[in-house]
Amino acid sequence: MGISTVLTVTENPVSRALIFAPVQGHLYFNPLKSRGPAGEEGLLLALHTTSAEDRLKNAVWWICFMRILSRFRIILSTGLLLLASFSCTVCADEEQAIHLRFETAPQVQRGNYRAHGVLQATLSPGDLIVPPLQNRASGEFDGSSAIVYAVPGNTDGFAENFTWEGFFLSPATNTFQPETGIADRLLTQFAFAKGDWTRLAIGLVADDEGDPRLCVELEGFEGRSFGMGDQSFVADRWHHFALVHEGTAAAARIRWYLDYQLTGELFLGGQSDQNTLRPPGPAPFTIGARLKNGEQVNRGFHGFVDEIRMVPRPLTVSEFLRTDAALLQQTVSTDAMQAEHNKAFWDDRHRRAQEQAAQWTAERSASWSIDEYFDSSKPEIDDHAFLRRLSLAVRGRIPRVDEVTSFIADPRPDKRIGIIDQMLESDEWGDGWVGYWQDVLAENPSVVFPTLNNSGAFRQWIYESFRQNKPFDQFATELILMEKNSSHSETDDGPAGFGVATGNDAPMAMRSHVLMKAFAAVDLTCARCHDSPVDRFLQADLFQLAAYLKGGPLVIPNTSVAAVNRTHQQGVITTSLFTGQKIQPKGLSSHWLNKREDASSLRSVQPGPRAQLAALITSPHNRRFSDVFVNRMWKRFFGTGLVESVDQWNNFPGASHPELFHHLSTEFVTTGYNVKALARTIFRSRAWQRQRQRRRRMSGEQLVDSLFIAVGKDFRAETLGVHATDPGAVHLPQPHRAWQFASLPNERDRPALGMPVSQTIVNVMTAFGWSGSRQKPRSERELTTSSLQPLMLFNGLMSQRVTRLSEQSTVTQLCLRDISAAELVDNLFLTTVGRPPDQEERSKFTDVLRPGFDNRRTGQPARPIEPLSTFQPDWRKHLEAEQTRLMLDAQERVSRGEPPTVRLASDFRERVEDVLWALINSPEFVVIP
Amino acid sequence: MCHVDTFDPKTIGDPRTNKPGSAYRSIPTAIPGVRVCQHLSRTAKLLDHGILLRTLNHPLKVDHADSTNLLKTGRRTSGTIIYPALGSLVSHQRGPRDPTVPPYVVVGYPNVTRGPGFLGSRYGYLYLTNPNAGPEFMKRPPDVDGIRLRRRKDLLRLLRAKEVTRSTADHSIREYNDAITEAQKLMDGSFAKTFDLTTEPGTTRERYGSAFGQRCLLARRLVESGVRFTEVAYDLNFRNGTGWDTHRHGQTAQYLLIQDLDHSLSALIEDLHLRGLLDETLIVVATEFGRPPDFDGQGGRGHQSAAFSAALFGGGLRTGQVIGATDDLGRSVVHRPISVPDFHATIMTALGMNAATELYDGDRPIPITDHGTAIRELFT
Repeated sequence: MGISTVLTVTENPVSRALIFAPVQGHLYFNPLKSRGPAGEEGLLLALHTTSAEDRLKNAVWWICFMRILSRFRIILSTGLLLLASFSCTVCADEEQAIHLRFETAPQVQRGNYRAHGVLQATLSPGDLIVPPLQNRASGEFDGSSAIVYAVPGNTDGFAENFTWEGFFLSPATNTFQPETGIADRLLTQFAFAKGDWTRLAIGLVADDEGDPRLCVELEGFEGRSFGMGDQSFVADRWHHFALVHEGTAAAARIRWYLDYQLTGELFLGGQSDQNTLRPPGPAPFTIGARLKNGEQVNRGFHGFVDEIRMVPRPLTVSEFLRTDAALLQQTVSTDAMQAEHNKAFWDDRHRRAQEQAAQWTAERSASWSIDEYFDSSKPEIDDHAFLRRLSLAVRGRIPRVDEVTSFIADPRPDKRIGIIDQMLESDEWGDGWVGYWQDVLAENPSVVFPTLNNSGAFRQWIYESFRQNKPFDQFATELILMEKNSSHSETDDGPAGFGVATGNDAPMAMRSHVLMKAFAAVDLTCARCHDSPVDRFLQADLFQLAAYLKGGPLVIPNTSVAAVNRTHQQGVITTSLFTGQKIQPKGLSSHWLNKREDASSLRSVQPGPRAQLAALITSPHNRRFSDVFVNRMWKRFFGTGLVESVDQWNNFPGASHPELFHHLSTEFVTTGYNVKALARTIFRSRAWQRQRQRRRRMSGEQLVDSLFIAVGKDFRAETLGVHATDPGAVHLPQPHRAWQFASLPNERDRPALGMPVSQTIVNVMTAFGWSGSRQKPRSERELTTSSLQPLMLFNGLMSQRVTRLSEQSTVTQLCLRDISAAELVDNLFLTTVGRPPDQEERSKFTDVLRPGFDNRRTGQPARPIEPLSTFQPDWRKHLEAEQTRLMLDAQERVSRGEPPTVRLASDFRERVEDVLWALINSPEFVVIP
Repeated sequence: MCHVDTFDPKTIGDPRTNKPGSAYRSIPTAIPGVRVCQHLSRTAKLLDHGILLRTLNHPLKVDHADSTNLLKTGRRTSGTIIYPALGSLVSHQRGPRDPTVPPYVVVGYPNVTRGPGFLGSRYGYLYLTNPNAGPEFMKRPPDVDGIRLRRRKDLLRLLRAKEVTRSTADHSIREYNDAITEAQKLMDGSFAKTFDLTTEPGTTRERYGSAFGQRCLLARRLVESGVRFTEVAYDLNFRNGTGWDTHRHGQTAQYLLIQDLDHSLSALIEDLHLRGLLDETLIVVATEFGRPPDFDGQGGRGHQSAAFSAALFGGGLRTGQVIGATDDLGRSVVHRPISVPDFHATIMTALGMNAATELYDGDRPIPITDHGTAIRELFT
């Protein structure tokens, strides 16, 4: 018995291709990345052994199907299959094994299947295979891709005695879910009959220490059996896994193996009264994520697999696929290779940018400064105000009292330059930027089921990018590529999260709209549904971009065509596209590029249409890219842009200071799109340091972070996750800075999903213009002032917590020190409004604190600190009455707040709290100097 | 909320044999020939003040958030516009009845589907979850007594005065300062007292009943104080385990939930009627979708949006009617479908708004409903 059918498929843009494998089995697959070690494209081969009489029948099928399938761009080696089928040797057993292997493309050439020497024509149990990654590709799964293989008619083979085995590699950056059901599934077999079903899966789950284990789960109508392997394993290395199922529908045993050692065992049915495996029937195996009706239901494995084999009998350990032991010991790091390649690319790119910018500089005067364009007679702000303004601009929070005193005490005349450099070096530079980009890029993750135009989470990636001072063109490129990159954090999908837009039937159109607004200041809102009535954009312009981002033709959905004849604005609104029309990815129109460029002449960081689009947009020839960003920076730090609008230059209004604008933009390109360098230039200018006529209120995040910093408290909020089972739902870590919050999960008014601590903080942020839900991109927060804002700070629970002198408050520590009442007042002013009190203030405030001041310390020891709330909502339990009770208890605790310190006399303590309250409620606290 | 188990009863089904149909018997109502579920006995007697809309329908039946968004904003999510919720639209067009009072209040959890969308935060809502405690920021902290309050006010007054003198030309300072003044007025004024339910007689509080009932009682007080639009979310607190989303075993005690609704809703109707407010108050009972007459194999029901019910009471409408009819098992609309935009248009018209108005998001015109038309039969 030998191979009679080989399917070769390339990575293709069709999202689903149904291939009738002429043997048993339908192979469905999603565009799966199959890459060789040097990044070359790969193939998936399904090797299928069948009996001799089927072979001839199958060969006929193949010829018939080649015509039909050619439009799916499947490469079929047909005639050769006939050759192959007659040339192979016969196996001893009549098996119906299925073997899936990934191959690198160059090794299999159309019409020369024989040259592919490494392909095993025969696979017998115990065969030595050429290991993964040795001149070969492996299948790269990203948690949402899958191979689905259905075996109709083969109802017996895989219900009673069978083996699954294969090789997998889990990257070091992988994280795993704890045992709630296997999240990272390698293989699943689903069997369904009316009212009765089972699902057997083998996959990876985290143990108590967070290390991954190979686990097996059988879930069914009657319940669930689960077994965790007893071994963890090393990341970044290839491992062998196998699952052996022996038994009948009445009772069975499952054993599974890691690296040829038995690692777990489950008994089903029989005495243990649990499900046994139902016959699979027409239901499919999946490798990777589980799909249902084409939608992803469960998360799949993230990593690499190869050589997956399913054999309809229980194999012994000696019969498992073998490979060279030494190769299994090797740690694989594709990330390092990738990083090196990237660095070379960007260095080269920035060198070219410099060359380009040098040409522009020659056009205008060589030396310049910001200050020559502004009136230098206006006074600068004093050191206190300067430090506060700088700290908020750079780090998103007010300075701590020790930072204020040391800066004021610094005698050096150039201390402002020094502090600018120092602050820019801080990690908090990243914190300061996240909120801005969350708005501009419409980052909108959901902690529960995401259906309202949600994206994935990519905030951590934004933070990291700015913290590391990633060149801005690189930032934009990574975003446009929409891939998970190796530097992503545990909880973030990085730019891949940007690629998600749930509940949206044209997600790439949405993404195009966001990108164009963010980087090119082009507003394509209208083009979503019709041609723009006021400027030059056609619907086709947006959708061409979207096709480019998608990497393939795009079909116009019917929600994207305005019902023109229903509106009474016929003649003004036209649509140039119609429902169902297919748009091809074509080059970018000249609408938004300053200079037409031949895409093929521009090297992009990797192949593919998205990378090409990124290269075009970030090209130094595209002045708009740097112009738009420079303007955004200016607006962010000055309050008004050099160009009035930041994100809509459709009818370009011109800059207020054209020459300065030109200089800034050129310099930005020259420095290799260095954001910190631009910031430094801005902050050092007198123009930035002078008094403002129009000051701005702090943003919601700045306010919250500043309030907590002022009293040295931590949020102590919940983890932002409810273990929702939907794969799009995120599980974010406990927030330590305000940008780490998201919209909270109790949207269905289910009390047990409440997060009492987070709610108090989110309430304040929302009142001050933040929104957890960002369905649309925006470049500016709403600046309206409402009475709700002071109300929140007067009486809100967060505000109460901030003012309360609990053991956690640094103000408590302060009060316990040996200081005078006047010194205490000074400190309280410095810690909140960042300046010392004037004469009248000091006098009045000291009067308030003086009664009982000398006896303020009670001498009692501090009480131990208790948690503020121990409640963490859990989707799996949220319908239980007990959970609601726990939540309400937690809410009650949060209402009571942190217990006040017993180390200070209560009357004195209350006076200090009242002083704090007045200071944080004064307009001076809330408005940036 | 399952329509065949509440406002649109059909032949009785049996979960044990998977026979589709209503789970409960039906009873006659104050509208001749019209029946409702037996567990809505009190509301049934008040149905002459009400209208049953039996043919709401829309295509979204799978996800709660999606459908809720559709019911609240009248439209599906779009990538280009964030549509405002009905409460924000009403707030925008009508404002509050008393200018010192917020026009839109939610008794439930904050949620983007209830929000003002492109209209901006001025047309947002004030929310609270505990009717006994009021919104978080309206009440003074319990440990702040009169002396402390005075001290705080004095200190703040000093700081404010200083800052205003220092930055005379600054808009932001002035605006925030004005907001502080307004906030203090709101807190000290009569609106804050609306949330104090202890001033209601015990008999009234009992008549309203449970947690949901107390929310309804608060809603009545809010109406009296001048709030234009109050949304009262059902406070689940486990009368039956799963609330209204009665999949699988959740169905078993659903009748408790229906009785709870009946108890509180009828209390609200009667109370408003007694105070002569029913004619000028429209009560809307709605849900994001219905549930099919079929049982799901474990005694519960899935989701159905092809046909479901809503109810209106009061509002000066021609009450005592049923609009629309579904088939014999309530699966589909047979006569007179009511789209969600139509539903919105009806409510708006009842509130004296022009349902053909266009709002503007920037320079883009946005009709206030998605081509909905009000139900003619309800208006004189």
